[in-house]
Amino acid sequence: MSTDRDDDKGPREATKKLRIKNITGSSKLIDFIFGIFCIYMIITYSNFINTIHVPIWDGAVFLLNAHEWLNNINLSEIYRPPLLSWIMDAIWVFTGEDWTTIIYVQMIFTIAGIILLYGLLRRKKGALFALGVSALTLTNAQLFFYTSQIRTEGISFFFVILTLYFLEGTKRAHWLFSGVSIGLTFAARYPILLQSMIIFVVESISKKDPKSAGKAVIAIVVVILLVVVIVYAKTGTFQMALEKDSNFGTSISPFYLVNATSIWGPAILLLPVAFLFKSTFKDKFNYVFIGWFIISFLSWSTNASNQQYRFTIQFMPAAYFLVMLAVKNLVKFDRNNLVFLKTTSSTLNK
Amino acid sequence: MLSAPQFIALGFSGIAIFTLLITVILSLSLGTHVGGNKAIIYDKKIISAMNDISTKVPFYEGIISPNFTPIVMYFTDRQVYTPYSANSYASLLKVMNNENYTYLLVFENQSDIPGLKDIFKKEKLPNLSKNFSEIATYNTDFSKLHLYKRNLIVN
Repeated sequence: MSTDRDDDKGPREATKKLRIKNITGSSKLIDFIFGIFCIYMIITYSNFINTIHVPIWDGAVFLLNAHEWLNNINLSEIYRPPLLSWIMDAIWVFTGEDWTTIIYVQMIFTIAGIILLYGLLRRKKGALFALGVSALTLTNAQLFFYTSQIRTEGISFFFVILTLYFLEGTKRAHWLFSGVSIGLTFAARYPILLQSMIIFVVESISKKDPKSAGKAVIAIVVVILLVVVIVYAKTGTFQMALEKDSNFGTSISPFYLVNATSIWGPAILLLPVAFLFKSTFKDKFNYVFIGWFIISFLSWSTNASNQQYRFTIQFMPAAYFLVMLAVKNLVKFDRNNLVFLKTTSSTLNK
Repeated sequence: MLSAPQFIALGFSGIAIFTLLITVILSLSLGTHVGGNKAIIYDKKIISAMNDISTKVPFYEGIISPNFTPIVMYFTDRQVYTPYSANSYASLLKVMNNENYTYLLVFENQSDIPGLKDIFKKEKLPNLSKNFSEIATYNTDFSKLHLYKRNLIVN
């Protein structure tokens, strides 16, 4: 119910809101802050990478595989996804075989992924929201450490974001590109195909364009087949993981739930709050991130034999998107937006 | 004046924004420590040690190493094998005999093979002299490396 007193308050509050908006809502100012943030993160990454004098275990395997692809000898570990080794080979063709030429590759993919994410979310949710998700994601300790190494987390992260970016594109050709990007997610890190596929399925359902989705499926199949055939031709077999690491679906482990604050930081405690507000379910765009987070979280939780914090890296943006949704709903708090409160008739009239 | 629900909402918003800031600050400070502070990746001397090992081990010879297999393999450019099935010193020797390995590279006090952890402890390493000759040691930031050559077996 509105009173005269409330009406008096209106213009004053509007001016206050406008003032706040002038400070925080200027997209150009936030773009500038994002630019500074990216430069700061590139410097932080570079400083840390320069302290690394030996590749991590898996990094050495990818280096070995790259050397073996280049010199046409048998691969050391046939179950490793080939894309990173192929990228190394492409670089080595110009620079000669030198492991230090590879050290910044993952950082470049990760920062590029964050820039794409920022651009997409800025368009869909506003600059401040996009800055929040991007900053939380890029500063995450797990993501930062593992994307500083010669590994595949940052590359697969990039292709998941690229898939989303293309699927949110306006042109029909973007569907085809998204299919290629999904295939490359597979080539970058086999199990992350699932995350790109979730995004693709949710987008296909919400966009209702079966013809374009069909084209994307063809592109996915072609790229994946190409990768499988090339690896098969080289090794005589196609293996996606060690048997001991692929023990999926037997039971749900609470590992990622119990260690959630260690993985995502205290902000993760806000994530469930997003589901308390009706507006979370009103925007179809949010469903991509809801599906992406829930299915990824559950799928990794069903691996009984291999549980690691770094497995959450590729769906960091989904987790932090939901955290930012929660914060946004809290800042713009409206009682009638709560899912467990029915909208009263007086509110409806208003 | 703020109403009670507005006041509560403002409080929650403040807590939420504070949580976001804390998360970013904490994460940034933790990122460089995820792999531990004394991991092999920060060792400035390992690669030169590996390069030297490759001059001591002939190209056609392989190396048995109880850990860091791909790192040793990439930087020595030799076949490196980690006998995960070995559960005792005797079984290690048996594997070396059966597979014709002559060289053993030990990272002091370390082993990925649970059954061999004890054998590669600093105080136990002299016991290896019964079957091996130590041909080089390398003091690195991360560990001390010992390169052994199997003594000739006289039948």
